[in-house]
Amino acid sequence: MKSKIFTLIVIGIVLLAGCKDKVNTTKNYYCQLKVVPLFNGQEMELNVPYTGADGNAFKFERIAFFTTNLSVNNYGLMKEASLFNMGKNEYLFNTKSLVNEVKTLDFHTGVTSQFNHTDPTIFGNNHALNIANVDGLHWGWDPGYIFIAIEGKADTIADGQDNFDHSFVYHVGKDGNGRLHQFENVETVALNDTTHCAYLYLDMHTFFFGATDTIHVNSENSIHEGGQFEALAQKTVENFNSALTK
Amino acid sequence: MKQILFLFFSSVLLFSCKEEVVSYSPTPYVLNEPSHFPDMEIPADNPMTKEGVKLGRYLFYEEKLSGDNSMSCASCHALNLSFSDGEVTSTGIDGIAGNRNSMALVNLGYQHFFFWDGRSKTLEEQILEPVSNPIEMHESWSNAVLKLKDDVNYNAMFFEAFGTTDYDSTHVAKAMAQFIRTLISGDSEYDLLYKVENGIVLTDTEAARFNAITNQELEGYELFKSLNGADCIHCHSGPMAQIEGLRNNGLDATFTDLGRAEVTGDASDEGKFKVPTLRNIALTAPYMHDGRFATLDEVINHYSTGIQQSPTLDPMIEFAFQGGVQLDEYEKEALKAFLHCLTDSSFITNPAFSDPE
Repeated sequence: MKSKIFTLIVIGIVLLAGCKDKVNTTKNYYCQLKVVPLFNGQEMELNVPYTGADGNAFKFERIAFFTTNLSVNNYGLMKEASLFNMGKNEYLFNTKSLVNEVKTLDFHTGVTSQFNHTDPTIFGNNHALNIANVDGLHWGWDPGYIFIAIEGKADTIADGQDNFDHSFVYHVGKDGNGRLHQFENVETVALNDTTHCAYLYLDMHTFFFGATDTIHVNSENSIHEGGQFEALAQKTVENFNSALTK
Repeated sequence: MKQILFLFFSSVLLFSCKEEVVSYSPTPYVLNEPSHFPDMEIPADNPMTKEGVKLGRYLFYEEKLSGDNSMSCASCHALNLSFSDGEVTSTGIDGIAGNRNSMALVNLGYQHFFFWDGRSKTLEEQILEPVSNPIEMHESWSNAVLKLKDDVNYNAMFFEAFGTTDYDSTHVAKAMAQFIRTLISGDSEYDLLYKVENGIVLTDTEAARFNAITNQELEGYELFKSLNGADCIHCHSGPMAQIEGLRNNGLDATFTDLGRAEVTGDASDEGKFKVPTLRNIALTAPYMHDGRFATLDEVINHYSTGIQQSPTLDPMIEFAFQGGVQLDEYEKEALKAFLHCLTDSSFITNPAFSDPE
């Protein structure tokens, strides 16, 4: 009888130990996706001059864009919407997750049409599309959200003196100007045992001097809304999306 | 018989006493938020209660908070002027004028920084400043609270709101913040335009008001939001009629008041001030952080032809190279007519916002 009780106790301990191990393997991880702005491959800051391929100097005052329907590792929707807003919010997500490594990323830059024309107050207080959280990036009428906002000043006179009096404003929205991004093998760094951070890069030199087209800041310094056939709007969209890399 | 009478009078006395007992059982206050507004975020450590709002309202109009008992918050924030004061800059109890214009108090519960330079991060923090400021109400908080504690009515109201009679400046700030969070304005003609633009169905009453908006006002609205018109929308959009930002709007080429840079020490912030709401703008003259413009005409002229270039000028002021958006007289009048559509009469006549005494 005693040996049976002893055996049962031993089995119980083994089972309990087994359970404990299982708990450990299902612990939550914190996963982040950070966008790092660059200028010609170097990390950049707002309000600091950078010289472009055309000799003009650029100071950026705002770099912002929305993403929607973001999924990680094909696990389905992870974040309905995010707003990257340099200097204010540089993470597309920063959340507790079962994911500890970002292998694949899928998202749209811009706001998909399912969200773009709804009352912008209907989203929850912490939602990126809530009008209180968009930092002015909603036109207030039908076109909806400003998908991409690049603002700043350029010094277009190469006389050796700072004269940043040439403003540039690139605001593009409207359905059709979003783009689907799919990245594989995204660089992920373990910040500690449970927190991992994946990185995307946004190179503003590429934005102006893209592989396929150049935005000439002297003459192409302003775009708003972005109708389907406006050349500068299309250039803004394409250059921006080619500037966003893993 | 004597025993019955004794019991009767004892009961009467007990009931009388019961009426005078002040209890602490605060009632949640439900904000009356317009349907097209986001939900106001209420700080967890200062939930809205009816008792807190009532106390805050009394305190807002309380002159004992000033050094010579002559000035309350309402002295510089008058209801009929959308809680501004009509002065270029406000003058404190010692006759010293401040250097900045009194801001209208509208929808502050939706905002995340306060003062023209954005130096306060919460309403509770902001409220603590004017009382002790030597050029404003010039009273120490310890004295101000002592004066309140001499008033049994305040002691009762503080107990009802916070469950203590040992209150201090933080309780005063919390109560006033609760009252200020109730100052919600969302019933102007601008709101009707906003709702229609965003596909929000109007009630019959609203539809009738919408239909009464004049052609001139509508032309002004088109200019207001047109990027090639008056281009106001970049800074004054959405249900708040403002973005939450600090901008240099081209008032000066060089700065006597550094604005945001006085807080951050960052040269790139020089000349930047909080973008104010345009709600009730026709009631809140004079305009700008220093009250330099007496009328809406002067403001419109500034954006039309008076923009000054400087290193921190907002790049969104895209027509700065030609001094502004170059409106003609017809357009200026239309824009001014539209700006009157931001007046919310129900806000400035709301009895819940007036002096309780």
